[in-house]
Amino acid sequence: MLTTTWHSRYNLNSRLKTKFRRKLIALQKTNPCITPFTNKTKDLASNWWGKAWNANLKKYTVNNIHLEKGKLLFRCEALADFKIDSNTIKAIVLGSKIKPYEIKITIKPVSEAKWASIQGFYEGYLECFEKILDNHFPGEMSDIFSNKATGIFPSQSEMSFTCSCSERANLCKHTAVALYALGAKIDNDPKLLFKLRGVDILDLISKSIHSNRKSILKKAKIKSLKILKNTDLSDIFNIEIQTGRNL
Amino acid sequence: MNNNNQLIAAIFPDGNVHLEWTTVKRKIYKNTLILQKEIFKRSKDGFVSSLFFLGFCDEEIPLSPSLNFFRDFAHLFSFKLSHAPELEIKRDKTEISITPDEMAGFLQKIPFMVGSQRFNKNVLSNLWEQLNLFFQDKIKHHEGTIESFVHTYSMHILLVGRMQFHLAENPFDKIHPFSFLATYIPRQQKKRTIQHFTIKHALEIFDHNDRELLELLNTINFAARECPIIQQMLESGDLFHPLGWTASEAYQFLKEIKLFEKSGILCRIPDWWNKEASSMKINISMHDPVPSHLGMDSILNFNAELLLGDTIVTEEEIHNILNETEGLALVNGKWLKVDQRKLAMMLKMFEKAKDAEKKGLTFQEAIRLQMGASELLSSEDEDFVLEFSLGQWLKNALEKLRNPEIIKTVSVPSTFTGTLRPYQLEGLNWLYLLHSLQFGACLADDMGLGKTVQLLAFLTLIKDQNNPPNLLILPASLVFNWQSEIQTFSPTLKVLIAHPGINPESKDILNKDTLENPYDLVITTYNLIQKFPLLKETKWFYVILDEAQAIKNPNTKQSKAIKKLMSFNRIILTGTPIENKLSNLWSLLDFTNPGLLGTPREFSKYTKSLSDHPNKYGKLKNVIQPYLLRRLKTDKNIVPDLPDKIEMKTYSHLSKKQIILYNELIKTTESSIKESKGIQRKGVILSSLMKFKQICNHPSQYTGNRHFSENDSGKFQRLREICEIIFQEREKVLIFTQFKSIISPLEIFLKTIFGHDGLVLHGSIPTPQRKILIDRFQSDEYIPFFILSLKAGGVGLNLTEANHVIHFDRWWNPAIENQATDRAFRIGQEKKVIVHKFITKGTIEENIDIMIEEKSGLSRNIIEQSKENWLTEIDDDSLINLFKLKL
Repeated sequence: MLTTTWHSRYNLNSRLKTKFRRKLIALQKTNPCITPFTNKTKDLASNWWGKAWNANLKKYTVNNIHLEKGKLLFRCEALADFKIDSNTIKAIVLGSKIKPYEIKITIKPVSEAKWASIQGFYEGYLECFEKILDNHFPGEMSDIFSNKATGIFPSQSEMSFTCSCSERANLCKHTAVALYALGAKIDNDPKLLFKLRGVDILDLISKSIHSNRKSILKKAKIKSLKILKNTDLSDIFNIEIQTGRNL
Repeated sequence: MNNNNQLIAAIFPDGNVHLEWTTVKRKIYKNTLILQKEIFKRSKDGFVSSLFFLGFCDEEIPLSPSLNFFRDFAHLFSFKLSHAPELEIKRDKTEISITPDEMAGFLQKIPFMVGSQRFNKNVLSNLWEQLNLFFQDKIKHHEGTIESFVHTYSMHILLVGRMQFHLAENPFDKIHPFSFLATYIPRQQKKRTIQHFTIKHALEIFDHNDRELLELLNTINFAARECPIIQQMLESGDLFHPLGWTASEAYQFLKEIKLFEKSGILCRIPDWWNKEASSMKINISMHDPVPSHLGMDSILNFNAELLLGDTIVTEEEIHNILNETEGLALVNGKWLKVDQRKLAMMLKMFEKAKDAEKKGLTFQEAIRLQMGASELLSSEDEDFVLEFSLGQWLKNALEKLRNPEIIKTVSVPSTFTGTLRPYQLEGLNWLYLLHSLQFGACLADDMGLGKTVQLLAFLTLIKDQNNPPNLLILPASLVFNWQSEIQTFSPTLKVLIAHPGINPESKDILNKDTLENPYDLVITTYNLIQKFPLLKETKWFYVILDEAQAIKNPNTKQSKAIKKLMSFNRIILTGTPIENKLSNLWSLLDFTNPGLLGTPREFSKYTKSLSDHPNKYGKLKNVIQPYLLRRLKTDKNIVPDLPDKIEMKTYSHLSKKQIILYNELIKTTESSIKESKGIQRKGVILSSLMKFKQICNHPSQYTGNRHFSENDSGKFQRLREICEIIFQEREKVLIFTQFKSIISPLEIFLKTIFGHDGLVLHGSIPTPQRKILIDRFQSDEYIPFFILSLKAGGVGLNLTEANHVIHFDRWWNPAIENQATDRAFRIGQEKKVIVHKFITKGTIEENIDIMIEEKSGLSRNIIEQSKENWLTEIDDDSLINLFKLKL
C-alpha cells in the first residue's frame, strides 16, 4: 500500500512491472494491434498542460485511492493499449485477472454557445499565441484555461467512463490509468485537448490574427496630410525597401 | 563567503584577464555579493564567459571599478546584439562590430586596475572578438530562437529590430526638413542586403503566413501598448506611411527614442542627435608662460570661447536661441539639439570663465581644469563639455614629457662611468627636461630596467658645486645596492650614508646643526628622517625617494614629515605600479608635484565621480602622464635594448641577531681551521661555509629554531620587497636554494606575500610527481612562485612561465647557477628574465662574489670544475679573511 516504505514500494513496483510485461507479451500474441503507452519520464507531467489536467481530475467526485492506484499502475506500465478517436478514448489496462480490462472514455464537446463566448476572451491574448503554436504554455493564460467559466478542461459531467471491471465505483482505478495517460499525452501536445473538446484552437488563432490584421489595416487607410509623395524612399532613408502597391 | 570580499579583474602579463577576490574595508551589498559569485562561477569557462554574462547584468548593482568597466564594455556588445535586425537570420554568422570611436571611448574609460598599464587597444579588441566567437559558438549549439537564448541570460532584454523607425533629414523641403518611415524586416530574406517592408506592405504580404503575421501583429500591439505615441501613430494611420515632419515634430519624436527602443523598435536617426556631448562646449585656450618662470604656481593667461557645434557663438546669439522655443536649431547648415537648461548653464559657466580671464590661472589650476576637477567651472551637472587647449610652447613641452623619445638628447658627463641603454638615455632626457621646468618626476620603470642608473646619470649631470646637496631616502635594505651602484657608475659623487647603524661615523655629522662637508648626495632611510633635525632643516636641492610606497598613505607621520622637507625639486623611484590604487597615486604625486591633483578632499570628490563619469579616467591619466614615466620590460621599443637575462645583484643586510651569530661562528671557525689538517681541514672548511650561508639566510635555519621571523633576516625582508612587486605585476618567480630545510619556511613566508599557493620541488619528490608540478606551473593558473632546491631543479626542467629567478643563497659556481637560471630562459623565448642574485653585504657571500668577479688568484676554470672545493685550497689567513664580517 501507499504507506509502505520506499524500499518495499520499490520492490512492489518492480514486481508489478515484471508481471505486466509478461502479461503484455502474452496479450500481444492474441491481439497484435495493441499499442502500449508508458510514461518515459519520472513525473506524470512536466509541463503546465499535463499538470493542469491532473489537477482537474482531483476536482471529480472520486475515491482518492482510485486515483493514486491509477497513477501507480500507469507508472508500472499497466496500460497495454491506448487509442484516441476524435472525442473517444479506448484503453486496455492489465490487471490481476487473466482478462485485461477494457475502458472507454467519451468527452463531450464544448457547447457552441460556450465556445463563442470563450473565443472573445482568447482573442485578447494574441501575444500568447506564438507560444501555443510552439507548444509552449503561455503563463498569462493559465487562469483563463483552467477556470470554470472560460476553461477548456472537462468537468466530470462532461465525461463518461465505462470499464469492464466489476468495480461499482463511478471512476475505477483502471479508468484512472487511462485518464493519467491522457494527461501525459496532453502534456506534450496541448492542441489535443482542444481537439478532444471538439474545438480547433488553430482556427481560433488564425481567426484572431486575421481580425486583428483587418482592424489594423483599416487604420492604414486613413490618409494624413503629412504623407510624403513622389519620393524615392530608398534614397531618403538609405535602405532597400518594398512598399507594395498603391502607396 | 565574507561580506567584504570584492571581485576585481586583473590584466596578466600575457594580456589575459583574470578574476580575483580582494578584501575591502567596507561592507559589500548583498546584491553585489550574489552577482560577484555568479560572475566568478562563470569564469571557470574562461573570462569571456563572465564577460558575456556581465553584458546582461543589472547596471544598478555596484561592482568594483574594473568589473564596472567590463560590464559597460559587455553592455555595448549585448546592446548591439539585441539591436541587430538580422540576428535571427544570420544566427551563428552574426558579427557584431565596434566602431573606432566607441573603442577610443572605452580606452579613455579604463580605470586604474591591476595591470592597467598593459591594458591597450589590442587587449580590448581581442576581448570584443572573443565575445563574438563566444556568442557564435553558443548559438551554434542552441536549438531555439535567439530570443530564447538571450532570455537564459536576462528576461529583461528585448530583441529589437524587426520593426524600425527611420528619421532622415530632407534638406530640400524647407517646411518639413525631416522625413519619417516605419518598416518591418521579414524573416525570410531573398537577397543579401536586408529588405525592408513598409508596415502596410508587410501586413498585406503576410496574408497566408500566420506565423509571420502573428509576429508582426504582436510587435505592433506590444509597441502600441508600451508607448502612447505609437498608439497614437497607429490610430492616426501615421505608422503606415512615409511622412514629412517639421523640426518640432522631429524633436518630439527624437525625445522619445529610448521609449521606442524599450517597446522593441530600433530607431535609425541622424547621428548628431547622440553626439549631444560635442554639440555645446566651452573652449579654453591657455597662453604660453614666460618660459623662465614656469612652475606649478606660474600664472597663465587664457581665452574662453563658447562653441555650438563647430561654430563659435557670442553670448548674444545664445540669448537669441534661448528665447526661441526648445527643440532643434539649424546652425551653419547643421542641425543641433538645443537643451534650454543646459545651454543656460553653459552660458553661466562661460560668464564665470570670462571673469577669470582677467586674472589668469596658475599652471596648477589650468591642469586641474583640464582634468575636470577645478572649482572654477564646477557645476552640479557633470556632463558639461569643456574643451581645453594649451599654448604652443606649453603644448610642446608636455608633448615631449609624454614622449621622452622626442626630447633633445643631453650629453652624459664623462664622470658617469656606465653606458646607458637607449631607453635609459631617454629617461635621463626626461628627468632633465622636468628639471629645467622645475616639475617633479616619478620614474616608475619596471624592475630590472635600471632606475638607479638613470638617476645616477642625472645626479652626475646636474652636479654643480653651487647646488645644495641632494637627499636620497630609501628602505635600509637598499642602502648597499645603492652604495655599490654609485661606486660603479658615479664614483665622483661625494656620498654620505647618513645612518648610524650602517655608517657609525655619520652619527656625529647627523647630530650637528648644519651639514658641513659639501656632499653631493646624502643617503638615509625613511625611519631616520624624523629623528634628526639636521635632515629636516637642511634645504636640499633634490629630495629623492626610492621605493616610494613608503609614503603611499598620506596620513602617516612619516609621509607628512617627508612632504615637509624643503627642496628645489623632487623625484621618486618606484618599481610598483603606482596607478593601481588611486589613493596611493595621490599621495605620491602630492610629493613630487604638490597641488597637481588638488587637496585630498578635492581628489576624493573627483575619484567618487569616476564611476559615473569613467571618461575622467582618461583625463586623469593625461594629466599625470607628463610627470610619470613607466616603461615595461615587455614594451616593444624596450625589448631590443635588453639582454635576454638581466642579472642583478641584490644586496641585503644582516639583522642584529645574524651579526651576533656570525661573529661567534668566525671565532670558533678560526681556531678549528688552524688546528686541523688535510682531509679533516677540508671538512671543517666546507661545513663552516654551510653554516655561514645558513646564518645569512636566516638565523633560525642555523639555530634550528622553528620560528622564522621576517625581521630576523635581511634576506627575508629583501625577498618581500621584490616579491611584492612581482605580485603587483602578476608575474611568476622561481626561487632556488641549496638548503632543503629553508624551503618550507620560505613557502610559508611567500604565501603571505602572494596570497596564493606556490609549488616546491626538492630531492625527495619522485620524478612522476615532478612532472605534474612543472605542468601546473606552466599552465594558465596563477602559481606565483616555485621554490626549487638547486640540485633537484638543475636538470631537465622547462619553467619558461617564470620571468624572475631568485638565487636565494649562492653556490659560488657560476656554471651551476646559470644552469638553474636557464630553466626559466629557453632559446626562442620572448620573455625577458630577471635574475636576482642575493648577496648579504659584508659577509662571506659578498667576499666570494668579489673574488669570483676579480678571478683573484684562481682561474675561472678551477672554480667551475671543482664546485665549491676550490675554497679549501686557499691558505688559512686568506680563508679567515674571507669569512670575516666587513661592515
